[in-house]
Parts: sequence; C-alpha cells; structure tokens
Amino acid sequence: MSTEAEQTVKLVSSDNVEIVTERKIAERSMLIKNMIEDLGAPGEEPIPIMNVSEAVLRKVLEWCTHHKNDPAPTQDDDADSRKKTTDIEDWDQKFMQVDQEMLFEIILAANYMDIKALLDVGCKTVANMIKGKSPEEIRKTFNIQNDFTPEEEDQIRRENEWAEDR
Amino acid sequence: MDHSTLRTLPHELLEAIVIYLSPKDTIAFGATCKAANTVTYEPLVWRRHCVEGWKYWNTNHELKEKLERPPAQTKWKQLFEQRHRTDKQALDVFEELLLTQQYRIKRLEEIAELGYDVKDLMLKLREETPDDAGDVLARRYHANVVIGRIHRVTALEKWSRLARGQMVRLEEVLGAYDLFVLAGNNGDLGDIDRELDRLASLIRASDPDFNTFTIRKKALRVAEYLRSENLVGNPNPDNFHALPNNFIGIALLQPPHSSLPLQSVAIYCAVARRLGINAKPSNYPGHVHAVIEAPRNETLDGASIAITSDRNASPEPLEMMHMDPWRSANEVSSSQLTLRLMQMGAPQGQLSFHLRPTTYLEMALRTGRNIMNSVQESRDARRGVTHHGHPELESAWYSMLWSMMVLGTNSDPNTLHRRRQCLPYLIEHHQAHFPEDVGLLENIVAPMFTDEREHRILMHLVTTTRREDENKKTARTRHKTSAGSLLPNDCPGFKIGTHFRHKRFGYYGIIVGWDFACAAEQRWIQQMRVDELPRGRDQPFYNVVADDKSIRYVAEENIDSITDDVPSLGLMALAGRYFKRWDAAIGRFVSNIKDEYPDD
Repeated sequence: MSTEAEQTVKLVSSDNVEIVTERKIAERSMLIKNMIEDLGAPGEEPIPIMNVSEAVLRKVLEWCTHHKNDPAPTQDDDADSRKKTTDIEDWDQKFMQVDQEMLFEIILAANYMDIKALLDVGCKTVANMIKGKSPEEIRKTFNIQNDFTPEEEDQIRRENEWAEDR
Repeated sequence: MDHSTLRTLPHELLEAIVIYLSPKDTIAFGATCKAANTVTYEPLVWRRHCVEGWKYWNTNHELKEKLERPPAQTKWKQLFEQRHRTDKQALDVFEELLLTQQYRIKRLEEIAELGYDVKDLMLKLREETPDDAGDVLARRYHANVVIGRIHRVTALEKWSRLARGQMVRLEEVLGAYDLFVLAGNNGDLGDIDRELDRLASLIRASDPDFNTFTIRKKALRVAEYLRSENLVGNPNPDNFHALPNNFIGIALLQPPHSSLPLQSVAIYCAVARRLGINAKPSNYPGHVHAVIEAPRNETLDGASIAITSDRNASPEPLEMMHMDPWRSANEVSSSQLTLRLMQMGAPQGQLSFHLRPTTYLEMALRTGRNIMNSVQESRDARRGVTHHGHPELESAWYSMLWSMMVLGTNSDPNTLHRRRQCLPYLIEHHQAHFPEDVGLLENIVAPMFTDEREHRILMHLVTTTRREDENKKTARTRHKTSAGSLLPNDCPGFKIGTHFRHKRFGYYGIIVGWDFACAAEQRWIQQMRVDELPRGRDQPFYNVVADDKSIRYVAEENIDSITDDVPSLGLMALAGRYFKRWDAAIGRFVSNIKDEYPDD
C-alpha cells in the first residue's frame, strides 16, 4: 500500500474529462475529501465534479497544488470579531489575473468544492475591484445594468447622503 | 445586470464579497442595482461595520445587549450612520478649536460631552496624526485633552454613585483612579473588566471539576492561580509605595503587575466574585485581607446548615475565611488574625469589626490616601529631577484630590471638612493643568458647598474662566501703540516658541508669553529680588512652561535660548497647548497663539 502522499485520485469534470492528481492536492477540497472518505478506496473510482468544467477544474487544481502544504483552516475563524483584510499574497494575486468570466467561475467552483481559502481569495479579488469606485464605475467594471427606477435611485441617494465626503 | 458576470453569483456569494467592503464601498456597491442593494442591506453587513468601526460606545447604545440579540432586531445601518455623524460633528468642532484660543474650553467641552462615542476618533487623532502634519503637536495635545476629560467624567460618575450609595463594583471604584492617569490605549474600565473576565474563565477552565469545588477550595484555587501568574503581590519590597502600585488597571494589565495589598485584594475579589465567591476586602488595620463569606444556609465546605425556625433568634453569623493574596496563596487563620489584633491593642468589642468586610467607600478613600503618600514620596525622591514616568505625577495627584472631594456625603461632618481642605488644591491644580474641567467644578463641586462661602468663590471662578474663554485674546503687538514705532530696548529679544535653558536654575522650558517689563505684583518682585538682577525690573519678562509642567515668569537675562537641540519629549507633549509643531530649521516652535502674539 502506497503512502497517502503518493496516492492519486481520478477526477471527472462536468464536460467529462478525466484528470488524475495527487490525493493531497485534491483534498484541499472538502467536497472531495469527504467523498474519498465515503468511498473508502481512493484512486480506483473516478470522482465526478459535476458543476465544474475542465478548464476551471485545472485552474482550481493549480491553486490547490501551490497551496497543498498550507495548514488546515481553523474552525473558529470568527467572521465577527476580526477585521477583514483584503490583502492577498503575491502568488494568489497573479493567479487571479484572469478574465472576469473565469474569476467568477473560480469563485463558484471554490464554493461548490468547498475550498474556503480559495473562495476568500476570489471574493477579496472582486472586493478590490469595487474598492474606491463610484456606483457608475462599478457598473461599468462588471457590466451591471442599472435596474432602479429614477425614484428609487433618488431615494437611495438621499438615504446615503450622510456618507458623502464634504 | 443580465449580461453581467457578477450576475452568475448567487446571493450568498455576493454576501461573501460584501464582507470585504468598507462602509463607503458597501454603499457604492448597493447603489449599482437591485440585487446588490438587497445584499448590502443585510443587518450583518452593518453590524460588522459598527463593530469594526468603533471600539468604544456610550453605554446608552447598549451595544453588548444588541450584539447578543439576533442581528435583524437592531437597525445597524442607522446606528452606523449616527456614529458616523457624531464623528463628523466632533471633527468639525475639533478643527475649529485648533484655530483659535477663543472658545477653546467651550469647544473641548462640546466634544467631550459626546463621551465615549468620540474616544475612537480622539485616539485616532492622537495616535495617527503624522509627525510631519503642520499642527501635529496641537492636534495630539488637544485630542489627549478630550480623552482625559471623557475619562475623568466617567471616574467621577462612578465615585458619585458610590457616594450616593448606588450599586458600583469595587474594580470600577478603584479603576476610576486609573482613568485619571491613562496614557496608553489600554486600561479603561472596559479593558479591566475584560481582563478580569478572562482570568475568571481561565481559572474555571483550569480544572474540569471546578464547578463542583466547595467555596473554600475555589477561594484557594483563585489565589493559587493569581499568585502563580504573578498578578498579585509585589516581588520587590523596596518599592512598596511606588506610584503604579496604587492603580488596579496598571497592576492588572502592565508587567511587572506589582501592587499594594489593597489592589491585590481587589483583583482577587473581582476574579473570585466572577466565580461565585462572595469575597470582599476587610477592615483590618494596616493591611487589607480578602474576607470570604459562606452563603446563608451553607458552610464554606459545602455542608448545609439547618435554618432555625425561631424568628426571634438573631441569625447565625455567616461563616468566614480570610485570604492574603498579596502575601501567599494560603488561607490566613482567623485565630492568628485575632491574636495579632489583640497584640496591637484592639479592644475586645472591635475584634469582629476588623475581621468583617468593609465598604467600597472605605477602600476608595484608602486608595486616595495611599496615592497622596506615593506622590509625595515620589516628589521628595525626585526633587529637582524631572519626572516623566507613568503614571504621571500631576494626574495622579489630581485623581486623589477629586476622590477626596467627591467621596462621602455632607451629612458626615468629616466629609465637609475634608472637602473644605481639599478645595484650594483642586482649584489650583485645575487652573494650572486642567482648565478644561471648569464645567466639572461648576456642576459637581459647587453644589457640594450650597449655602457656604465657597459656593460664591467657585461660581466667581467659573464665571471668570468662562468669560476669559469667550473673549477674543487681546493682541500683544511688538510695536508700542502710542509711539507707533518699535523701540529697540523694550522689544523682547526672544520670540514665542523659543526653547531655552534657565541660566541660573538649569531647567528647560518654552516661552509662551512676554511683557515689555516685569508685570508681576510688587510683592512678588520683592520676594524674587527682581531689582537685584543686573537688568532689574525694566527688562522684558517671559511666561514660560517648564519641563516639570509648571508655569513660570522669567527675566530675559536668565533665558539661554537653544536652537540646535530638539526639545525633550516631555516638553514636546506640553507644547501642543500653545504651538503647532517644532520647526527644526529655525529651532523654534511654530506659534498657535497668533491671536495673542500676532508678531511672533
């Protein structure tokens, strides 16, 4: 029996492409980790990753490979008490330099595959794209259509007058 | 939003993104479209902004209660908006007060009235104003003044509650002294409470069976823990009376955690009470012990006591034990304490009085007296040497004066006598160091002397101070108004902001005012033998702030100006009252009292 580090697993993307990777890398995903534990025989049975296409899955696994030796996240990561920082480490920043479609695909995949650290990096990246912009600039950045009526817009402006710099 | 990639994200992932947005960005994002708007209105979003935005909250917000309730029950966004407005309002007034001396006290009061809701803002101004800001010294100084005033009002409230016989905890009564001397960011009453809570939960967690312990065993465990962490006692007997030992917050939060027996016992009692032990300081002469009382129907060792059914029989006294956490983790036997009392000559009838718990009022007054001794000892030891340690002597002295003034009631003749004795010192200290406290004299001290002679004196002082504050400062120009031209011999040779060393006495100081000739009273001139000076009384005289915080009046011939050395940190801290910054290029402070001395 090979050691856990050398074990490989077979993943299948939503577009039916098989990808073989180290078990340790794949287990950055809690979804996969739990499935492996349930199946009991890693390496033989292919694991379907139903909502993630090959291109995205490869990208996600690239992230998992780089972070395979990160310490496991602690349970009491209290969202309430600690101030959120939007700092992202250099490697992750480069990793996230992708087009918007891919960025959101990664976020969705990280959420689906339950990779909290990757989800955080993705959300921080989007937050940094919003930072310091006016509503109009944000709409432009993300191609958002303004669906407010003029009355609603007026009301929102009045509600938030207090926050404007004088 | 149909073509937007952002649209592909479900609501909960938009929420996960909003977690990383600042308040301003949250609002901007919420104004982009309906879906984004819904996400930014989640109560948790604004609850987080509130908690991250401000550490300090006025008690009327009931923040702690709000945080315990489901988030949707509180209008967090409105609360955020309210605090944001308060900050803006306070900052506006603060900017105005930096510009002119006129209405400065009034403006300081106006900001300080906002209480703990402005403490975060003031801390930010004090800690985060960059060194190269044009008015860095003034900004830091006055932010600190507001913080000090907010702290003192809180301290005086606690003592007033105690004096009125209302509920207040021992750690608050003693922590009120800390509020007068707080220099750093840590040590406010909330910090003391949090630390005591933390210690109590550590002790509880240190033994899985703690909750099943008898009271005696719990009491011993608390002492053992506090001693092992060196949080009580004083490892250095040479500095028994050292000033920091008088302050419960300093003892608790700052290494080496040394304290007087009274403060050690207070820490012990505060932790013990959090663990369900009825511990209070004792009445013992010369030393303070902790007295632990058993509940009415139980012994300290957990045995139940049958309650007598005879209603006329006087209730059995509660079982007691004594601890001396300052000295040891062991119980002190009552027989030993009694024996020592008899050796001291205590009358038989007084024995049980000395072994019983005493009032918090007594502990507070005892702390005041201890601080008086410590400050005096410290002043004697350092005569001639400038003291820049923590806690700062003048603030410690001021805390003692206020406690002597506030604690007690006039129905007790001793209190009125003590207040009378204290008043002149309090007024003097207020005028020299804390002019911003005029409203406290008016609202807290004056009513203590209703129908007494002192009331009139106080109100006169208040009126004069207020009038001075409201009036524009008279400009002191260097030109003589009648002649129009400047005469060389009556023009003060040094400017406002000059850093100097006193030629004869050697102390350092800063010039904050001048007269063309000595303008002091005749008596002072004689006392100081001004006429014996080579240049006599007709030379320019200067008002100066010395590095021991005193305000002095110095003849020009004694000023030895220094332009190449940066003034001491102590002087830098004092300078903010009069100056914007130190200008290294010209070797002088930049005046912020141009309204008074327009030519300097």
